[in-house]
Amino acid sequence: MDRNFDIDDFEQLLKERSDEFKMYPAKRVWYSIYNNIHPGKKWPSVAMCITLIAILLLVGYLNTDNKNSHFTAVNSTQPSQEFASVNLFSPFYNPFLEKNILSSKNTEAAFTNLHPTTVSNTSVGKTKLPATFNSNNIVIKKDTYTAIADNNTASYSKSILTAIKPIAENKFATITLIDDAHLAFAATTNKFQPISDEKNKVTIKNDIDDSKNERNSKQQEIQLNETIAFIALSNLNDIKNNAFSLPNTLESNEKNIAQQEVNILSDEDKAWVENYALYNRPAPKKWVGKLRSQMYITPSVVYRQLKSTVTTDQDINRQVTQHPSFGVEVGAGIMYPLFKSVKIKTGLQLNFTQYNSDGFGNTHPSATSLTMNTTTGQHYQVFRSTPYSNNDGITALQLHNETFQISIPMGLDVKLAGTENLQWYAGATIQPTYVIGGQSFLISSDKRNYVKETSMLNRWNLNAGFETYISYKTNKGYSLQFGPQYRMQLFTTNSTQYSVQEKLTNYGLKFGISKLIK
Amino acid sequence: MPSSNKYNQIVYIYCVKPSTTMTEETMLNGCLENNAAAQEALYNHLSPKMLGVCYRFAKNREDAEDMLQEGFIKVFAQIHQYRNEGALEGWIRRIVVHTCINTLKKNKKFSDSVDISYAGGVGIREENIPSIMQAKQVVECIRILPVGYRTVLNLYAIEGYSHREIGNMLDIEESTSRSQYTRAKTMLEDILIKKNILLKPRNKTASVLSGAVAAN
Repeated sequence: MDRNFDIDDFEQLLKERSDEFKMYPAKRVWYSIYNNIHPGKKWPSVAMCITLIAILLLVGYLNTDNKNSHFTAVNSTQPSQEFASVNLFSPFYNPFLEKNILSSKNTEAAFTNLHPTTVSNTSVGKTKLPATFNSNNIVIKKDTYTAIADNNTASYSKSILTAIKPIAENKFATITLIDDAHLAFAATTNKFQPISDEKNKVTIKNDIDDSKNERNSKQQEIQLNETIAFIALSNLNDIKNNAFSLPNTLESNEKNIAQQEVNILSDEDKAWVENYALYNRPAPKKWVGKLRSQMYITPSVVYRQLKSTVTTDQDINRQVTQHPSFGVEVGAGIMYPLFKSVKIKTGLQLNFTQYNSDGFGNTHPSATSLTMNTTTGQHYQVFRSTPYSNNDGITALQLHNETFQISIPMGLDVKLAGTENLQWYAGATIQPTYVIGGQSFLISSDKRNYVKETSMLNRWNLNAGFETYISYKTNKGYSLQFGPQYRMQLFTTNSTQYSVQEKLTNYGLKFGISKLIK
Repeated sequence: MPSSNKYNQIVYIYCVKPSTTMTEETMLNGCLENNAAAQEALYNHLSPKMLGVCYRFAKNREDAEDMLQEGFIKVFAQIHQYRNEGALEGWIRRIVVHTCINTLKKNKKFSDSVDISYAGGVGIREENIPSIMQAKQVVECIRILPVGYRTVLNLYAIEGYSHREIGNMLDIEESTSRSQYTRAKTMLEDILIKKNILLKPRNKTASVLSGAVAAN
């Protein structure tokens, strides 16, 4: 600024007023600055986010995949009870899906032949309703629709569909689709009245809505080979927008349909119902029987690779004498088969890494300096005193560089080949790592000394692991794993400010054992 | 660089807390050691004033905060280059101003606007200028100016750069800077007079402050 402030009143006014002006920045500005000048310290939040997202994805996946579930409504044959409680099965127990199903013996209804024209979006096993259901004179829309069932088949002609539609206060129409040409229609109050107690026979009549269809006035008798299920509405809202299905073993016969005889449940289905439905057992969880727990230990040899950010430096790996040493990883985790030959896994792992540097100890410390980086790529010196020398000294020493780490490996294993008992896998993990402690000897700017500087250790780091192993299933349900493992550190051990970047690599042999969680 | 005494360093790292009572020397030493507490203290101490500087150059508050952020990152990255020659605030202010100029220069419209001979008039209506504190009034009046005028005026009249320096900074001729400033000054005077911040001059200059401003 070679201009002195030779300003007139106007400029004086501007300067004074402008200098008085202050604005307070939002807090996010400081956070952004802080994250930029201390990049390593935002790792905790990033690691937590990754972990949280992984957990949410896993939980979401387990909760939403209903591919193999059956929502089944069946009747109860308990003569002493008007209603029997039946659970609609889903992967996780849902109390809102539990409905009161009325026994066929307690059913009052009337049948007529109606011809549905379209049924769309019928989702089996999910609580998704068809958008519109049309018949000659019945239109059921989602708003008025309270329940629907079909038989879990793509073929609509075999479907059984039951819906209940309010036609007046406390009066409901029960519509049962027998096949694509026949529809059972019944109007009733909110409770069905028993008419016949004769086994396997039900008389269905409509004494409420006779005027709607002349065929309704005819009482029809239905011979049932097995049973028939109807839904009773004690509370319309309870089952609104829920769907369920009948077992797909239903046999539909034209002749029987003409005679209004419907065979709904096979012996197999009945057995299934007796085993599960009548006792309201919650559905088995999807992950049970698939999730495996695993424990492992991996002795390893630890190497280091040094790289100087000072361009004028010679190859730093030749200026220091270093020896690999033994490290170990111990961990426990869980594995889940995502596909037939792919397993995802996560867990907790403790790591110990070490390697040795040859040095010398001196009685009196000497002054030395460490070269540090700036964010703009320039360098400056930090001065220290140290008793450790690289080239000469009084006592020869082994300087132990070591770290204790805890990490969360997340990854997957892919089955490459194998039989039922013997399999070959390849796997990879990414491992957010927290360094609990350790010690680090830093090489000085002139490469003549080592400085013990534990405070420079990066607390957070990221590792990647690659492995291949043989898995053998024992008779007792355990799986033994054995194979080589390679683990590499992705970021430097010490602060990025230090001009020498150090990355560790581990070559190990993994011994593991896993067991199915029941 | 700071002292090589390890104990001094420990004091900076573990005992320094963000505080408005921290001396400038303590903050500077802490920043040289990359101590977060000292950096935050320095930021808290100077950011309101520096944001005011950025705001005069920027299109809006968000842009100003971005400029401030980038400026302070440069400050902390280059703090070891500060040689104790002159006030730390002045050194930081120069970095922030240069950051603002560099940010503006990334916009092609800005380059055009500082190089054209006349930027066009600005319609001044009463509602254009919020009637708040006098300092903010003046700053808001400056911000009404076209960006080319505004930048030259900020650099010359408020930041104290010469027209030669401004020409180098903005990649324009020195004479262009002078003419831009003259027009900017005239336009700003009109605005301030319309807002009754300046009294209309009877003879030559228009630099008599109104009562409201002078009272401040």
